[in-house]
Amino acid sequence: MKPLLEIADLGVAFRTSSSLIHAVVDVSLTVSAGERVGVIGESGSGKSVMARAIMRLDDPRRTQYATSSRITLDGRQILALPEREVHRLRGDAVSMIFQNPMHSLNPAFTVGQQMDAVLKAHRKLPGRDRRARIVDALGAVDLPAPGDLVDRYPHELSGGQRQRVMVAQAILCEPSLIIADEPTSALDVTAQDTVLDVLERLSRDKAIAVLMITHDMGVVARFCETVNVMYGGRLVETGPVGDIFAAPRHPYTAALLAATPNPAAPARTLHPIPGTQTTRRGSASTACAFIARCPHATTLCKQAPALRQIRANHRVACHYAEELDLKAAG
Amino acid sequence: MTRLLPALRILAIIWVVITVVFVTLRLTPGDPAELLLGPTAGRQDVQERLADIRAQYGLDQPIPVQYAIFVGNVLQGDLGESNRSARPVISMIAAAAPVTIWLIVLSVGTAIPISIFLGMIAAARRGRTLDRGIRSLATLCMAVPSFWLGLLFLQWFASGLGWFPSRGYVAPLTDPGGFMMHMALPVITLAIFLVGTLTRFVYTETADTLQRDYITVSRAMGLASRTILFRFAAKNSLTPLIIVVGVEIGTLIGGAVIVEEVFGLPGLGRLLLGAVMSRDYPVVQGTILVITVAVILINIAAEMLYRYITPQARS
Repeated sequence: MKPLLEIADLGVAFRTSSSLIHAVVDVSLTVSAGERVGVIGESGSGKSVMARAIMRLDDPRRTQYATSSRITLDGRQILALPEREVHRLRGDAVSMIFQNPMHSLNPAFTVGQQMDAVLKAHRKLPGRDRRARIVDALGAVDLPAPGDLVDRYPHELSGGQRQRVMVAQAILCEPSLIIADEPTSALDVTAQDTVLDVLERLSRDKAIAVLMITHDMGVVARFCETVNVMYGGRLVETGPVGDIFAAPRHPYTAALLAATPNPAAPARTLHPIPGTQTTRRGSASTACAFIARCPHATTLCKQAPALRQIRANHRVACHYAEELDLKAAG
Repeated sequence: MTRLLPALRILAIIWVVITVVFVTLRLTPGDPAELLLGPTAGRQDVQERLADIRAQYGLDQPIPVQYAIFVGNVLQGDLGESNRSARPVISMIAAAAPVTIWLIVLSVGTAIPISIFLGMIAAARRGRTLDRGIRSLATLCMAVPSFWLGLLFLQWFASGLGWFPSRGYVAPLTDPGGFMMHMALPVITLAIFLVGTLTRFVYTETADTLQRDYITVSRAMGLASRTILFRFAAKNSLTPLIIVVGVEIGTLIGGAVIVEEVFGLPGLGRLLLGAVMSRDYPVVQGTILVITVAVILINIAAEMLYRYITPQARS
């Protein structure tokens, strides 16, 4: 089956006055229809840049895509499309949910006015039908009294409610893909739970694929079927969530898991990853991105490892993927 | 109670203004009666006339009584008489006020749409040539002195080309065409200064709004750029303009003093300037009292309108 979204060899760099910053290097991943895929990594790993590239949201005057990059959505070459056509896809075939619901809604307009503008941009419907559809969408994300909510202003809603409004707005035009860029990071635990529940149910019921960008292993564990681990702008490990959580094969993935609290084993000591991720200026480095912080690094690691298959659907970019005893390291 | 607060605030501010004007009158060096009498003091019957004035204004009374009389008079609309023409100050102000009101209303009315257009276009084209051009123009508009620009316009369009009358004023109801012709150059002169200030304000506000997350969301949801700019960004970036225009009214009255003088418009500014030149204290104080109260009321109205329009401030 052809995947819904296929990202191949994506490279994204930003021009600054003095240099070129390589935010994403050679990333390839696929999302099938209705699939829930996670992208995890710490701040600066390039995960959000990759997400924005799918919708081509970055300023074209300072963003440079590597020539070999391809992003194929439903057969359309996103990076080759004229801006007008990409614009038509935004909010229609693909929609996006952002991190901070407190700032994602326009304070000067009611929930209904904002959602109506989205619907109007993509569908020719009479006003009454649009309103009915908006109320339906608000109901679908479990918001109480959706008929009243339409006429409320954002400041009258809680953070969790606002994020559910964002989800409702995202599903208005029945997209085939929702890109969720850290949708729960700014919410308290209860609100996180509700938003993830709603997203998961919508994904199942309406066969909407979700690309979940997060730094939280807990979100990946409960929400995603497949996970892509990014570090330093590169993909370091990808595979089914169950496999990777049970047996991570990249030292970074293992380190991330060791740094994540596990409610099942509260007594376990957490291990932070030493050092910090570095920005890649000038030409892309040829060494493994994790070399500086990896406890297992050798001279061989000065040559970047390719992403290679070690099991069905499980790929790792580490020279020692088969040999390392990573559970012990975790 | 909360509903009454704004009204009480307005009354309190007006009371302060009246008191300040009263105190200023007492602080002016010399005998207030002599000051009120003006340069005619020194004639034969001067003692008699001073006594008359003291009795008329209650200046022979103790200060608190004088204060009570002054407040009472002001509240009844009695601002005294000009010591030049002996006309009641209030009727002089009533005759001059419409000219200034027209001048300011037309200037603001001209400047606002132009500033919104220029400021928003510059913000949307931030960092490009058009943006730099508009912002340089705005700075130039602010920097050029009104009196010089007014004189330049007079020389070019009134004396030189003869398109507009050079001085004077015709009431709009008497001769609408003549009114427009007489007002055109003064309004343009004053509007140019205002366009400079307001364009820069609209630019800053819009550029800031366009950086907000909700604008990125609107783009990510596929809204057209012009819908985003002129509807979703505009409502956020333009509502503060109401407050700014309110604040600018004070500056505009200062500008009106100059523009009215240059173009010979018989407005409040010219009345005030003339009274200052001839030391006509009752007129100076009456005019300042009226202008101050008007500026305060306009600002309070602007604030109330802003609160009404902004949903977060309303509740």
